[in-house]
Amino acid sequence: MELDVLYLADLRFPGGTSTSLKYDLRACKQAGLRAGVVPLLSPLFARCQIPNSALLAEIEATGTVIVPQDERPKARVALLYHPSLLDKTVHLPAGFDADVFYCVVHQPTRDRRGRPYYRTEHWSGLAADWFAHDLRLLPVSDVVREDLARHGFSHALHPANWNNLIDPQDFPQKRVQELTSPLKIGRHSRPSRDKLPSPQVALQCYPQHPDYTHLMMGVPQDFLDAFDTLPWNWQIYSFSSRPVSEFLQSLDIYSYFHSDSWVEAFGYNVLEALATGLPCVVPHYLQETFSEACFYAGPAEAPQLYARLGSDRALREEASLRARALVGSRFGLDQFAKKFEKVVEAPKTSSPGNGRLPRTSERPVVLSVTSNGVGLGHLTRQLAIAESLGPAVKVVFFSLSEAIEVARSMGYLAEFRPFHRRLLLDVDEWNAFFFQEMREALSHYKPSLVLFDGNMPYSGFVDALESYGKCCRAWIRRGLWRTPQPDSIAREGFFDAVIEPGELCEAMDLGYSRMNPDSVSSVNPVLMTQPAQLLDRAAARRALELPEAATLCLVQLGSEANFNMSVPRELLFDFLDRHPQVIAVDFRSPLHMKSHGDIHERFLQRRLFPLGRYLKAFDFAVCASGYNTFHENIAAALPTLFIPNSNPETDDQDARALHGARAGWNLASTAEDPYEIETQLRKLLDAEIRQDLSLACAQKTGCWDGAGQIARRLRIQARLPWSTQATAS
Amino acid sequence: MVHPGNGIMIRHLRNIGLRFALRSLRIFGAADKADALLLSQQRKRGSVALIWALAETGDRLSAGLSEKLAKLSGFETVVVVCPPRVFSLLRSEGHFFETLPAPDEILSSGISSNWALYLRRRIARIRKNWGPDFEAVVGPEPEVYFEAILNGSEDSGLS
Repeated sequence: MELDVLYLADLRFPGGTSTSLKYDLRACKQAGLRAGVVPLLSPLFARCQIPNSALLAEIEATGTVIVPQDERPKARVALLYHPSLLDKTVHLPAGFDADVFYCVVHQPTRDRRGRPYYRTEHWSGLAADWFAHDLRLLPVSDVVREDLARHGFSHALHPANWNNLIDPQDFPQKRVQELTSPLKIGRHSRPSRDKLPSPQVALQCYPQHPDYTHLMMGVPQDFLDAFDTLPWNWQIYSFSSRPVSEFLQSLDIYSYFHSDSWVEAFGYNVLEALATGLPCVVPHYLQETFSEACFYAGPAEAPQLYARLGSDRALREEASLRARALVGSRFGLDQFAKKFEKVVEAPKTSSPGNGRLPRTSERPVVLSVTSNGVGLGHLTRQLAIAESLGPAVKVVFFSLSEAIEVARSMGYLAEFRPFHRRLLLDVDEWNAFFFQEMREALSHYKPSLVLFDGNMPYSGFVDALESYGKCCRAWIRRGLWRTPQPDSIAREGFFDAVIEPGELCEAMDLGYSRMNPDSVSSVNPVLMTQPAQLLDRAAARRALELPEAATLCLVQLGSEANFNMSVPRELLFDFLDRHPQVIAVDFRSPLHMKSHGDIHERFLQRRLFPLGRYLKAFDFAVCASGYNTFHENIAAALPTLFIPNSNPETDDQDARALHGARAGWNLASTAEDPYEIETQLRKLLDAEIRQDLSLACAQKTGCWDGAGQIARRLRIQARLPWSTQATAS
Repeated sequence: MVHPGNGIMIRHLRNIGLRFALRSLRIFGAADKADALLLSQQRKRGSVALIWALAETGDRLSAGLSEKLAKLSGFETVVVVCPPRVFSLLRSEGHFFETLPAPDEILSSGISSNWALYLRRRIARIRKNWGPDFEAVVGPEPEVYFEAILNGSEDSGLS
C-alpha cells in the first residue's frame, strides 16, 4: 500500500485535533494526494471513548484508506498526529515505512503553571526504537513552537509549522448588518474546565449587562456550579447540541477567553469564527497565530471592544474582510499542497527499522461472541452485522446460544459453548471454564476484532480478552433496560467501542444503558433484512408454500423459555375457530423445545430463519415485541399485535409495544389480558385498520441501516479491509 | 465371519455390561470428577456418559444415536458431541451437548491455523470438562472423523 501521507492518529479527540484532521483529509484529497489513516489509542482517553463522528464521516466521504491491521504501508510522509501518541502505551504492530516521519504537536508541553500536559522525556527513544526515525516535530503554531524550543526541543523542530486548515465553504460568511441590542456575543469549546476562565474573570469578559447576551456552547457543569445564580444574560448550550456553523451564524461578536493556566495551541474554535467572518475578541498571545485578523484584549478590556464593535459597522465590515482573507490565504484547503511540499523529503534508498512484513493474503477474522439469551436477539443482530461486514473478513461465531445452528446454516463457522444456567453451575466455576475456552479460541483464530452482543460481558470473557490483548473489541448492546445494571456498565472499559443499536421507541428508554454517554454511540435500528430486500406478497407466499388467497396471520411469540404465552395462544385458536378464512403460521424459533403438535388444523408450524424476506406474505401478525421482531415488522409495514414478554430479565418489551401503539404503528396488549387480546385480534381483521397501521409504519423510512453503520464504524476502528479487492491490491 | 445371530448377542452382552458398569459406578462411586468444570456438584456425584456423534447428518436423531441414548438413559448426565442442528431435539430430552466444527466447514472457512492442535486440545478439554464415566461413539471416533486434519501438517494451510 503506497500513500502520500500516513496519519497515525487517534480518532477520538472531541475538538480541534479531530477537526483539523478532518480538513486535512479533505484538503489532501483535493490536492490529488492519497492519504491513509492508522487509528491509534492515545492514553488521554478511556478505551471506550466514542470516536469523533464528523471525522469518521469525513473518512468515509473522502474514501480515505484505513490501513488494515496486517498491512505495512509505505508513505512519503508519516505524521504521528498528536504528541500524546508518542507514548509507551501506544502500539503499532505492523509498522510502516516512510521517507520522513514527524510528530505533529497540537499542544504545548506544559500549561502556564509549568504542569506537563504529557511526558516528553522518552520522545527521542520512542521515535527511534518504535517508529524507526529520528525525532522530528511539526508544531501547529508559533505558540507551540516557542514552547518546544523553551523546553529543549529546538534540535527536533522542523522550520515549517503544520498549520491547521479549514474549509470556508462549511462556514458561510455572516453578513454584516445593523445590530440590535442586546449584542449577541458567543463562544464555543469542548466542555473542559480549562477552556473557561475562573468565574470572577468570566464575569469580567462576559459581564451581566443589558447591552449583551452571551451565548456559550460547551460549558462544563462544574463551571456553572460555581455560580449561586447564573448571570441572567448567559445562554448555555451543550457541546455539539447545534452545528458549529449554525451557532456562529447566530452571533454578532465572537469572544473566547479561557483559564489562566491553559495555553491554546492553535485555537481552532477561533479559526471557525474567523471563517464565518465574525469579529473575534481573544487573548493577546493568539496574535502569533491569527495576526491582524482578531481583536486582542485582556478579559477586563473585552467589554470596551464589544461596545466599539457594536457601534461601528465599518469596523465590523473591515474585521469580517480581514478574517476571511486570513482564513483563505493561510488556512484554506488549497494550502495543503504547500505545507506538504515543505515537509516531504527525497525517498530513502533503504528504510530503517523492522524489515517489511510478509504480506498475507488471508482475510482477517472477526470473532462474533453472543451470550445465551432466551431468544435469538443477540445472534440475529450479530448475523446482521456479519452480513454487513461482507466477504472482506471471515466471521466466526463463538456463541453460548443453543440456536447457533442458524449461523452455521448461513455458512458461518460456528462454535458453541454451554452456558451455566442450564447446567446449574456456580457462575465463578463457569467463568473459569469460559476463560479457558475463550482464551484458546483467541489464540487459535487470532481475530482482528471481537464483537460481543449481550447485556453482561462475562468475567471469563473479559479476562480472556485482557490476557490475549491483541485485538479490537466492540460491545453491541441494545438499550431499553428495565433496571440499572452498574456491574455491566463497569465493564465498558474493556471495549474499544460500545454501540447501541437504535430503538424506534428511544423516547421510552430510561437511559440505564447510557450512564456514560461519552462511551456509548448510537446507530439506527439493526435489521437482518432491509425493506428493499422483501419479497412481494405473491412471491413470498409461493416461497413459503402458503395459499395465495387465504388471510394469513404470522405468529411469533418467542421461545417461551421464560414467559408464558398460553393465554394469547388459546385466544388465537378461538379466533381461528371463529374465522375460517384465517390461517395462522407459527414460525418456531430453533430454541423451541417441543412442538405443540396438531393443536388446530389452521395453525401451521414452520421453522425458517431468517424470516425477514417473507414478511409481506402475511396480512397481519401476532408477535412478542422483542427488539428484532418489533423493528423488522415495522420496517416491513406489517400490521402487528404486539404482546410483550414481560419477564423482568428481558428488555422493556412493554415500553416498545406501548410506544408503537401510541405512534399508530401497531396494536398492543399484555399477555394476561384476554379481553384486550380478543379486542385487538378483531381489529386486525378490519382491512381499513390494517391499512392505517401499514401506512403509519411506512412513514419510517431511511432509518434501518444500523448494521451497515456498525460495520462501517468497525471497519475504521478495527482497521478491517473494505472489500476483498482492497486486501488483494 | 460373524454369524447373523452373533450381532444380537453382542448387543445383548453390551447392554448387560452397561447395566453392570452403571451398577458398579453407583456402588463403588463414579470416577473422580474434580476437574469436570461443566458438572455441578450434584452432577459430579452422579454418572456421566459422553457420546461422540459427530457425523449426524439429518434434522432428526439417527437411529444409531436414538438407540444409544436409550441405552444410556440410566446415566444422570448424558452429553452428546454433535452438529448443532440436533441441539433442540437433545435439549427436549434433557441431554447436554457440545459441538466441533466439521472438517468440511474447517476447510471451507479459509482459516489457516494450527487446526490439528486446536482440535486435539478441544477434544481433550471436552473429555476433561465433563469427566465421563463412559464414552460411546455413534459413527466415527473423533480421531477418525478429523483424521485428515489431525494427521495434516501442523501449520496446515487449510485455506
